[in-house]
Amino acid sequence: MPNLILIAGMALVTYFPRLLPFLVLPGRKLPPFWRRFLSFIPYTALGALIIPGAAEAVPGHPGLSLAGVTVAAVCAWFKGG
Amino acid sequence: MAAAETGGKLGARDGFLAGVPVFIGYFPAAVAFGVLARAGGISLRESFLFSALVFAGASQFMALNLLQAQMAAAEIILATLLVNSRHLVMSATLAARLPAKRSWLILPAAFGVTDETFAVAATREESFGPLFLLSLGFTAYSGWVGGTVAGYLLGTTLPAALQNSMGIALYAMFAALLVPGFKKSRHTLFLAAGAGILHTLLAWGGFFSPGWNLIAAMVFSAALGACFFKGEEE
Repeated sequence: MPNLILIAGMALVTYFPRLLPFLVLPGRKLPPFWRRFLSFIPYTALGALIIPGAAEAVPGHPGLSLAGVTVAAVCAWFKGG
Repeated sequence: MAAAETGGKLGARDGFLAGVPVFIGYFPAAVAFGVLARAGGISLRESFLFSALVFAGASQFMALNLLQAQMAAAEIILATLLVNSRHLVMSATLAARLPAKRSWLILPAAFGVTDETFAVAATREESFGPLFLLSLGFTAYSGWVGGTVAGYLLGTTLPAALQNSMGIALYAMFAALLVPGFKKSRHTLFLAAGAGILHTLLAWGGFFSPGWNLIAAMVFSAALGACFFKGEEE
C-alpha cells in the first residue's frame, strides 16, 4: 500500500513536465530566439545524453562501449540522410 | 481523415516503425528492472504499475535504490521530479512543432515522451501530429511494460552479452540520430559536443543532481546556439 502512494506520486510528477508544454505550445508562434533555441535542443540533448553516458553502457568496459557507439556514428555518417 | 486528423506527414504507421528500435532497447532494460524489483521484495502488481504509470527508466531504478535505503516516499517523489524535469524541455521541443488544432490525443502522446522517443521524433524533418507521437510512445511503452513483467516472472536477467549489446544499442541509436545533423550544419556538431563536454564537467564536479546536470548542459548549449548562430530557424 505505501508503495502504491509512492507510485502514484512518481506518476504525477513525471507526467506533469511531459504534459505541460503540450497544453501551452502547439500552434503558437514563438519569437525567433526561442524557435532557434528549440531547434537546437534535439542536438544538445543528444550530445548530453551520449557524453558521458555512453562510456558506461557496458559496466566496467568504457572502451568497449565507446567503440560500439563510434561504429554506429561512422555508419550513420556514411549511410544516414 | 488521415492528414487532417494526424496533422502532419508522419502518421501512426511511421510512429510504430520509429518506435521499433526503442522497443528493442527498452525490453532488456525493463527485464532488468523487473528482476531487481522482485529481488527488492516488490510485488508483481506494483512492479507492473511502476512501469505502466511512471514509464521513466532512470527514475524507476533510482526509486528501487532509495526504497532499499528506507528513504521516505516524499523524498523519492521529489527526487523523481528533479530527474524527470528534463522532459519539460523535450516535450516543449516536440509540442512547438504540433499544429494549432487541439486534440485529446496530446494527453496520451505527452505521456510517451522519454529521452529516446523524444530523440527519435525531434530529429525527423517531416511534420507530424499527436498520432505519430502516440504511436511511437506506445511502441516504446509496450517494450518497457512487457519487459518489466517478463523480467519479474522469469526472475533472471537476459544473458550478459545480450544485455550489454542492448545497453550499447540505445547509445548507438542516439549517435545514429545525431550524426546526420552534422552534415546539415557544423553548428550542430559544435553545440552537441559542447553539451556533452559541459555535461561531463558538471557530472564530475557534482554540481547539480544528475537530472539537472543534463538539463543545464542541454539548455545552456542550446541558448548559446540561439544567441550566436542566427539564421538557422527551421
